[in-house]
Amino acid sequence: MFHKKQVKYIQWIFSIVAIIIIPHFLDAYLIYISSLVCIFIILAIGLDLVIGYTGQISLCHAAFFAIGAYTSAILTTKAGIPFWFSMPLGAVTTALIGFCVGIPALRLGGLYLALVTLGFGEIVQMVTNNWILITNGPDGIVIPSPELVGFSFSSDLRVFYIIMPITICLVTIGRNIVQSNIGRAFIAVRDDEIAAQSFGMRLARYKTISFSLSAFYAGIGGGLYTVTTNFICPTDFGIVTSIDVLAMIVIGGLGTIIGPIFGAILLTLLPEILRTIAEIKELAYGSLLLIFLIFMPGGIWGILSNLLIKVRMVFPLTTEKKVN
Amino acid sequence: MENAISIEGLSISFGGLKAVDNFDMEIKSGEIRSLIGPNGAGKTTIFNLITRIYKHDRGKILFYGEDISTLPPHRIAQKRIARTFQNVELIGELTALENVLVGCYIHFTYGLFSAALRLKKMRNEEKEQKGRALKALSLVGLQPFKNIVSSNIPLGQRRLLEIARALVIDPKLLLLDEPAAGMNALEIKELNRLLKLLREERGITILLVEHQMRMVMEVSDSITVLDYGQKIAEGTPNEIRNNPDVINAYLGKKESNAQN
Repeated sequence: MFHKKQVKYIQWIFSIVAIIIIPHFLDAYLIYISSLVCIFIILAIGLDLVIGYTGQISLCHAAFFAIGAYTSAILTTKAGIPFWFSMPLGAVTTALIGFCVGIPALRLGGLYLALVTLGFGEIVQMVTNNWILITNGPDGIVIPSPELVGFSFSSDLRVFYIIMPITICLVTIGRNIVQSNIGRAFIAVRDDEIAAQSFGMRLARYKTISFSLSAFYAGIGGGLYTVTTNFICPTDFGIVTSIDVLAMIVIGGLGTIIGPIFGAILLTLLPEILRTIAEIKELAYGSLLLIFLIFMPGGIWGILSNLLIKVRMVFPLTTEKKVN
Repeated sequence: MENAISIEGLSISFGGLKAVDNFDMEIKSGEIRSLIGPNGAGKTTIFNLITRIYKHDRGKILFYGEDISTLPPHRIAQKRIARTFQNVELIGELTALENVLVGCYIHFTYGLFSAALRLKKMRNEEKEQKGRALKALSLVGLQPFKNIVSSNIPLGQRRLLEIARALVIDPKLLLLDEPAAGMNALEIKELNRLLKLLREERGITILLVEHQMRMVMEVSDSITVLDYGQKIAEGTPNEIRNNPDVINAYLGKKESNAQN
């Protein structure tokens, strides 16, 4: 018998080894899709921090995604800054812009905030389309594969090994934050602003932190996107992308970290699976979304966690006491 | 004895309605004071004025001699004023313990960076505050509920949970908005005992809004009666019980009853 902590370590080692080995058996297309899944997991967790945890509507997540991607791409192609620096710089820039977008949230709520963020998203897309000198407009930007001391991350597999660890780190950081005093403040602000203030929380602080964090996540997602596709253009970052990420967190389970992961996996894979029935793809996609929303109001995670509780009742986890 | 709070000429109106009108009140440190009055008399409004959720039109609020009537609402908890809410404002999806930890907010000093990486500073503070929260839970008798999601806890216990969450602020002044609503006779008795204990052992000054008259009469040192935003009486429970103005406010005047 193993001690509970040892079991945990063995699980970790197994999953890490599995994650490193399994991609070698996948073809390039599947690996490319896995990278996209990772990027959308990052985007979805970022959006969930602001919508699911802090309760502020944001419809401009694709704009943050775009700012991260364009900043990183422009710094790499025009200023010659390597990806390893341009990507974090892009994320920090996005976080600063996210902070500014958070400021209207201090005065506006609900539908008004939805409109402000929607407008911001449109502005960003206009800029990427029309500021041709910097963004190349609709022609887009071609991004070279990143290099590290002579080693080129030129294949989909190599890029996946950049993206996957960053995704794991960001998921862990997200979980750490929501389980901290800051996460509790987010939830308190979401549930009741008056009560939150009476515990000493400054609303302005938590709304802007939440928007900045959300934008930071999207900014990293954008930077990673540039090296996954090696090409970006304004149509990648339209309102549809914002709505897709919103659908991921709603279908996965709002206000959880694990829910958006399920949502991102499902909604990134679904269009790829439905590709085989191209004629009715859009219809099938829409109908499936409706079915999920009607039958899983708490999201995928809502259903799964209920199931888990029932399984635990039948097969209780061996506690440390029993092991000793 | 020092005044915990003294309110002078406090007024606020909402679109022409004088919700609180030229209100004065002084509460001695360590006193249990009840604020009573018919529905809509302005009791909860006074709570919201003390905690700065509403901005008063005129008047002054002194807390242990310090003017708090210009502070932003999030600074009130730091001054050690804690409150509970008439419509229990707990976070339904969090457990009892987590809800009390929300109340521990002002004791945390770590920032976003420590939280993101679970640094030692963060883990230590979380552990310390968890201890504080557990102590508060057992003080109100909710230790067995600590891992229960608060939306699954019965109303009476939820009100106690709100008191526990207010207590972790280490308040000098505790504002309780109808804590006994939804409680049975036995629970009210326990609540009375708890309030007296808080006053005696911790020296907490308590301002209580309550409709359960038996409780108010038993637990209060003195009572302030409010009607249409104005103070109509103040005194010991016995004085209030026999005050004709109070009886009128609650039951209506005999003449007007006869006309109806």
